[in-house]
Order: sequence, then structure tokens, then C-alpha cells
Amino acid sequence: MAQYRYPLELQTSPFAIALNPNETYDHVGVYIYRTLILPITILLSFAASSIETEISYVEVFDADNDRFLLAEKTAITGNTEFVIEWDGSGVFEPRVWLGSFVTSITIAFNLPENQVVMEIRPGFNAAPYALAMGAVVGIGLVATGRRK
Amino acid sequence: MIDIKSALYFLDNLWSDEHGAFQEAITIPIWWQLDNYMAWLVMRKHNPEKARIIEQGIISDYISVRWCIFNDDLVNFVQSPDVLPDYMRYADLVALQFFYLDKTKGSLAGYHLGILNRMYGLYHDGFIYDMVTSREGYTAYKLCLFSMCLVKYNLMTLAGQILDWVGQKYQVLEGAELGGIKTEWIPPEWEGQYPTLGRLANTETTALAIMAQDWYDAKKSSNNFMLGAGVGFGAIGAITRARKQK
Repeated sequence: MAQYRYPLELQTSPFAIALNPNETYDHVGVYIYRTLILPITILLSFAASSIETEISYVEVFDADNDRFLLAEKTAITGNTEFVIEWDGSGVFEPRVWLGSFVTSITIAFNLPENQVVMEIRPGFNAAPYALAMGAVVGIGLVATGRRK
Repeated sequence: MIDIKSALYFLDNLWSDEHGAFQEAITIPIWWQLDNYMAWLVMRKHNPEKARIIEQGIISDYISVRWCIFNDDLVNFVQSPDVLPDYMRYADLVALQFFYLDKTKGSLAGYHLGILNRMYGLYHDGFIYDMVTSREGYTAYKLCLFSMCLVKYNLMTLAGQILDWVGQKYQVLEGAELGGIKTEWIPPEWEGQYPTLGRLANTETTALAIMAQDWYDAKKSSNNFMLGAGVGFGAIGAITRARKQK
């Protein structure tokens, strides 16, 4: 079974998780983890059938700590949102039980500014330019001096 | 900054002519290949004779899958995602992957440095916070790796600040371990709760700290040389022109 691991800090909120079925679950094996082990509130949305008899069963499991962050086999009908307080340790793995009617899963979160990961670019290095500029100026001065 | 002379003095005290290698720490007479691979990387510059002895002896059949990145060995290097799928929680694995991506012009190198920067800037207290900080303490070698990443990207001010901090917090100033770099710093309130081994100065961490300081010094020198040479070229041109005009 394919496993997907996403660092939360590199995701843009909200983001959809592709369904990843196996023989036990309609969706499993997509792990969210934090690069900074800090608490965060996750808004987890399931888009599911709203027909009363079409019940879906969902849960969120943290295999690292062997705990459920959303109760095991929680029954839902229709589009349902859960606000989950996660301490940031372990993994956040939404699961959908086999035979459910979930069509998509979305995760939304609000990262404090000091936790957002920004791409860092190389710093500007003036030294090579100073060297080149000095050489050009020097040669230029000598050359123009000769002409006179 | 890290006092390289003093750190080399510490390593000298760990050297065994009999084994042709550095032992792990003052109180631990064990000669690891890993430690000596690290020492070899820095001894190539600081003591080529010892580097030769190590290369032909204890590490002659050794393949490092981590530190070989500092020998430009991309063949044996195991990328961090292959070590742990969730490697971005561990500062050292993020840093090593950064070096790999930087060497191979990978597009995510800047984000890896961004992750380290967040781990470093989380509490603005000079330490890096990652998955294992609360279990192991504050680790010197992760700070050294971060500093080296910054040097790669020519972010010299922060790199220098980190090396200042490592020198101040981790380098031993007296006693049998004089000059050595301790692996971990444990806050006083954590005393007794964590293994004590990390509080020893050892070969691997000291060698890495020397390498980090070497990188910083070399980059600074190179930048200063180019700036100086640029000014020099300009000045020589001006003087030559002035003379010719006379």
C-alpha cells in the first residue's frame, strides 16, 4: 500500500487529500506530521453522502503514539467537519472505513507566522562583483591612460 | 566562534599511535570508524599525516552514508527520505538533505533551510528544537550543520552568530576535555533525567565543529579576498594611469 507523508508546514491551507484505498479502508496511509512539535488546531472536513442510510465511518489515528485523535469509527452522514486539537506530536492520519461514502477529505489549519516555513534563498554575495568591477575599472583606467 | 586551535589540541589528546586513530572521548577508549571518518575529513587540512594514517588504517574499508556528503560522495550518500519518511522532523536529516539538494541543484533546498531556520528561531534562545530535543537535550552538531548550511548560502551573519553560541555554550574551557566540543547541553533543571554520555566532549562533534568553523573562515576569507582584490585592481589601474599621464 502506498504511504504518503506530508509535513504540515510545507502545505498550503486548506488542502485536499486524495483518497487512498486499500483492502481495509476506503482511505488510509496519508500521514500528516509537524516539523515543529507544537500544538495546532486542525479543521478536518469530510465530503460524504447525505442520504440518511448511507453512513460513513471515519477516524483519525496517530500510530506513533497509538491513540485516536478522532474517535475510532465515528459515524457521519453528509458533509461533516471536525475541529481537532492536536498536540503536534506523532502523526495525523485520517482514515475512512471500507464501504463508506466519503468523496473527499480536506484539511485546514492556521499556522502562526513564526511557524510558517519560508524558502530561503542564497544571500547576495557582493565579493565576486567587487572583484569583477575592480578589474574592469582598473583595466579601463590603464587603457584610457594609454590612449592619452 | 569555535577556537580551532584548542579543539585540535583536544583531538590530539584522543590520538592513539597504537590504533592510528582517535578514541571517542577522554574516558572512552573506543576507536569508532565513524568518529575517525569525521576526524579524517578535518585532518586532511589540519594534520595531513594523521589523515593519511586514518585513511590507510581504521577507515580504509569504511563507507559513511551520512558524512560522506562532505567528501562530495553522492554515490554512497543515503538521502534522508530513505532514512526516515518523516525526516523533516529531525534537524540533522534536514540539513544533510539540504547539502544533497544544494549539490544536485534540487529545487527544495531553500525550503529545507527554511525548516531549519524555523527550528532555530522558534524560541529565539540560540538552540534548535526538533523531534528529539526534549529527549536528548540541545545538540551541538545540529547547530554546526545549520551554520554550514548558512555558509553554503552565504548567510554569514547568522552563521557566525551560531558558531559564537556553539563556542560559548559547548566548547570546554578547562580540565581534561579542554578545547573539546560537548555533544549536548542540558539545562540545569533537566539534571538527572537524561543520559550523561552526551555531556562529554567527543571526537565526532568536535571534528564537525572544526569543520563548521573552517567553512565559515574559508568563506569569509574568500569574500574578503575578492573584495580586496577588486579594490586593489581599481587602485592599481588608477595609479598606473596617473603615472602614465605624468
